[in-house]
Amino acid sequence: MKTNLIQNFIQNQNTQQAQPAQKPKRKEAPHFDIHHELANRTFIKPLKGHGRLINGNLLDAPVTMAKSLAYDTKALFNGIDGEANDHQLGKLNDIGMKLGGLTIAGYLFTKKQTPLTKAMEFVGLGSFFASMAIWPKLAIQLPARLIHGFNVQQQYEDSFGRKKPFYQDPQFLPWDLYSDDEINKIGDRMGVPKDLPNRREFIQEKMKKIAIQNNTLWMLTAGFATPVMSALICNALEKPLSKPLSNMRSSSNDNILANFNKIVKENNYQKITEEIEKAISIDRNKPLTKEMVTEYAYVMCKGFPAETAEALADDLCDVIKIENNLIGNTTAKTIYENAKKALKAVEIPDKIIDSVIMKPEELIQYFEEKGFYGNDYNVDDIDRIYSEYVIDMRSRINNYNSANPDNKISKKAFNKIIDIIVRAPEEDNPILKGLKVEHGAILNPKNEAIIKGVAQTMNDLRGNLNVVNKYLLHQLGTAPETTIADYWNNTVDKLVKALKITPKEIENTRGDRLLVTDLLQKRFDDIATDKNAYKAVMSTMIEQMTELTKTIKQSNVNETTLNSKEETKFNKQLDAIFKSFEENLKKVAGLKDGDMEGILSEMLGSRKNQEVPRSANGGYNDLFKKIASDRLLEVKASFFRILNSLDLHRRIAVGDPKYYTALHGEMLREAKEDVVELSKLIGISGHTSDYLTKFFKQRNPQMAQKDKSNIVVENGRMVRKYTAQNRSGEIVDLPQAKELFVESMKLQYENPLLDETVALFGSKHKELFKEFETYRRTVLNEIGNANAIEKELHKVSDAGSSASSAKIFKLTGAATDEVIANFGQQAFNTRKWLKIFGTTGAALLGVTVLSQFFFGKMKLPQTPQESKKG
Amino acid sequence: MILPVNSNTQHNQKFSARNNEENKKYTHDTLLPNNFSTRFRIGMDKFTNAITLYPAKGLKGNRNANFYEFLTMGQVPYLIGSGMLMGVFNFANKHFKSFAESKASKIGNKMALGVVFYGIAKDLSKSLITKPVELLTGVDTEVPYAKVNYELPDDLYDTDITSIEYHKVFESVEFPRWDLLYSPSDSGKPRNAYYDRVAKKLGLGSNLKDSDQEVKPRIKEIVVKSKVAQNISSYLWAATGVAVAFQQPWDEFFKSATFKFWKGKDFKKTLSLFGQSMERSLKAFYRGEGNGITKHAGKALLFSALAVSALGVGNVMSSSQKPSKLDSADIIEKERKYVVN
Repeated sequence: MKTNLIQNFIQNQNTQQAQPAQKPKRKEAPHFDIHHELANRTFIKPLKGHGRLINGNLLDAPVTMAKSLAYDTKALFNGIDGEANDHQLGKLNDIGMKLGGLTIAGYLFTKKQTPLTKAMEFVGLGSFFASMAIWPKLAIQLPARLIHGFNVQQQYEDSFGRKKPFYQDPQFLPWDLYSDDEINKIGDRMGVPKDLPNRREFIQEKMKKIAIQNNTLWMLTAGFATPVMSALICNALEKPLSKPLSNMRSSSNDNILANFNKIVKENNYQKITEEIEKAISIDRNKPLTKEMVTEYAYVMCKGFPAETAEALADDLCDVIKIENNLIGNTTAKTIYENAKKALKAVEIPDKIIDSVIMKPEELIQYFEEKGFYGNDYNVDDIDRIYSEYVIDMRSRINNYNSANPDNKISKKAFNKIIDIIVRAPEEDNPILKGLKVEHGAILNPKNEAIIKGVAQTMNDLRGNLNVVNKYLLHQLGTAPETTIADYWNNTVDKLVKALKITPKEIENTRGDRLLVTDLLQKRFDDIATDKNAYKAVMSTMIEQMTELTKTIKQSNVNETTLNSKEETKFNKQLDAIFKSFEENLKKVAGLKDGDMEGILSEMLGSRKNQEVPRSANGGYNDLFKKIASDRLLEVKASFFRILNSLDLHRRIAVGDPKYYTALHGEMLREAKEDVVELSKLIGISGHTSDYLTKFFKQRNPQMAQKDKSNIVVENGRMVRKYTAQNRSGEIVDLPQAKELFVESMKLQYENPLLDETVALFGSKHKELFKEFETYRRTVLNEIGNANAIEKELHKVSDAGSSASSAKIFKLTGAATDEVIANFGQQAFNTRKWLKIFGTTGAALLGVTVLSQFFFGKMKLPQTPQESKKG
Repeated sequence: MILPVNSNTQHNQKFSARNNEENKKYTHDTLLPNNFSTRFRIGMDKFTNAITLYPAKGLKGNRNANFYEFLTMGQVPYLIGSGMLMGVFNFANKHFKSFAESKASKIGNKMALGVVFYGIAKDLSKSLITKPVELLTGVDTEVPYAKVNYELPDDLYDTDITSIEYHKVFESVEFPRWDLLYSPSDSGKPRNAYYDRVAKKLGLGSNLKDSDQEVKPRIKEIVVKSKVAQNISSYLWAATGVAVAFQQPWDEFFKSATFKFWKGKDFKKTLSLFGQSMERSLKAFYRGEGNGITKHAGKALLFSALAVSALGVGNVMSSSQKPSKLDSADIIEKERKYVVN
């Protein structure tokens, strides 16, 4: 049935006139009353819209966000109830996408190890969504507004309060939301002639066209732009983020030391005690074997090497007396049965056997009388008991012979008995075997208490050491984003900037250490000739090195080679942990001196006997201290080496012989030049192995003997009178010429520092200066004179040195060229990546913006020509 | 609709990847079977249009450009974005030194695999909602239809004024295409055959007088709830896909995998290795490593996705088993007059 609204109304009116008016039972919605609308016949028209254009600004953002959140929440609940509309369902898709993104970031967060990489997961997510939102605003909306004068991404709110893009559906554009003034203003901006007939329609068409073109452009470019922009945002944020995160981690590390016991308690490490408890509950009251105890020891030594577990196992076996045997009923029974069987086998009559060998009950009584019964004994004691038994057996034989004078045991039978009972080796001896048949060590309450006590002590130690390990790793670990790694990266970054190494140089030398060596040699020479440049680089490095003491507080942890031996919090904490370990170990099972010496040696260091103090060397306590100290030393040595090398270059450049006295008057000029060249080179590129082998240098075996003049410096560079020329002849390594190495080391580490270098430290960095001096002295003493390891036939010095290769490694630190090469590699990769994607992003932005100048081209409608016909 | 005076309107079509002969079979909006072949055909049609005709139309600012085309073009940033996301982590690697390249490629490969798994998991997981719902209620929320769209002629000589769009019957929950679900008179089936079947499946009984009126509100509710469940769960499954792609065993796969499919033997080996790596990765994902949240994150993610899918289907079913919320007496007030068009 189809009914016309008006007919329906007229009919209704007629009915109402005929009958008294009835009020409708249900009240209509306030904005729509069909009776009211129809009563007003003149103005039958569509309902007035309540839509509006949204022209929000930044200040509205919080309110908009809150409204949007409320809308989304309502959409979700409506959706769950099955009452959501299309617009709400569209919003739920956005919610799902964000939820999915958060889930991915959350999952990957758990897979990452360091704070920055963890944080970057969420930064990546945020930047991706931000890019999705920013790109159309930056590359589409903004240029379009500037070029065409209107917002192609205009939003509007419909009559139901739903926010929608105005140009989303070009076939349905609610133009009535734009006033004539607004449209005309846009038309003016577009240059649409003011007298154009149907001007508004033309402007609208033009706007629609531009919007369609821009929406298409958006779809075509967003796929390229969003990931690139997101990656660029992440790249830009990585550095600013790393600084506060590094500071946070550093203070968190300090907090570990400050609240050590609290953190240990919070961690509540109980793995060892739980596992031992479990094992004991299975093994309770069983005989304890060495295998069982070893198994317990391995559980107790979680995180320690096998040697430590074996040491603990041996200690526990000793304390528990695992080898002891019990004298009990089984002993008596076994002795009797073994002996009887053995004697019977050699045809000893039963009567004799019964007289000579005690029956089990007699044997028990015998052991009781002797005081052996029910006790456990070690091997020596068992031998003693056996001896007594044999003596008593001989008495029994004598007694038998006395009692049976006519039927004495024959000599032959006697010998057989003695062979079996006395002369037989242990493995065939029925008495000895019987005496050792019962295990003395049982997992009884006493032994259980010992094992549990030791387990608890080891558990507490592991709990403490876990926190120590965490501190060491986060503060000084060879891993990304530790405090020391962040400091190192920061310092190298500043050094590269101070050395004015350009990205081009990095690109040219990347991955090739020799090229970096060459670059640094030239750069160091250049810097050395320029006082201001020298001052700038040195000041940067001195500042940075002092920074280390602020980043890693010396009162917390310190190295002890260059610095005073002040006790640090870290060392004190370790002492407290191991002292408590020792005391607890003694306490748990009432141990006496000498017990558990194996594990105590492992932890605290060994000692020759109980009267002398332990040598800390080799114990875990000392090991932890050394790890921290050595790590700091390696870092300091790497940077001190750069300071020293720069100072050497400058000393030569200044040309004052008082700063290079190693080039003494007896040395040939050519040798002096060799020493200077080698010194400069090894400061930059010398590896530990080079110091160990005392360097190979191709030299002239027939130097000009008469020329002992000093080196000559011109324009800050040594004149290479010999080393640059006359090299066409034979040049060889001269291992016997010890002065090359010795004098090179003296030139680098013994000759005085330049006054201007000393002045740069000033009073502000006097502590650092002291360390620097100590460093130079130590390197000279430990390495400069060492002949411990060297190439064959190479005589350096008669003086011996205690410097181990490990010590040489720590003191030489990292080779400067390698430090810069590694940095260059990383810097190149980052730069290359940025270049590729930065260029892509910029090109895309350019194309997107430029193409918009060609949008919206429309021919003006032709005004119809008036007909000239009459 | 006023059509231009031209006898050739049915013979010309523009803006479609399909040739005219093929599209001629749709002279009016037509319900299509929801099977693989149709879905594939629709997918290809939309894809080719999205990368060729619609951008061409859009960049010209064609006045016939519409919302369907805009939405269809949404595939473009999705696909290009996926490729770029892979590229951002891989393109620059070849410029790095070997060690850095191998390290960067490890992450890059996983990221690329993550993008692929994201798309696959998101797409496939929707069936976890739609299939059980269809099985339990008889309502296929994804059923497609071809829409014949009439356009304005571009100029006086433009006689091609139709284009075909592929929509879904329940694309809009406010305006579902109920009309397409009625059986045509020449089909030999009762007009309400579809609605009768759904009514029966929903337990509303057989031989209902107005089965369509009975089930429409219920179908709408089912569609809304299914869409909510799909929207939330599919992204959780997508996240699960990414998480699986980030497992250690894929490192080994990428070390020896080749994508040169023309090298038969090697490629076959790669496929077999893919299967093994997938199995190991799923295990690694489920078992986790380390302790605490790190260890259990995989399980938590998997069970969240499973739970949301199950709850989603449960939610659809929970209300579809209830009687209709409104009695017809509440909807139709007998004392009032209604306008019926």
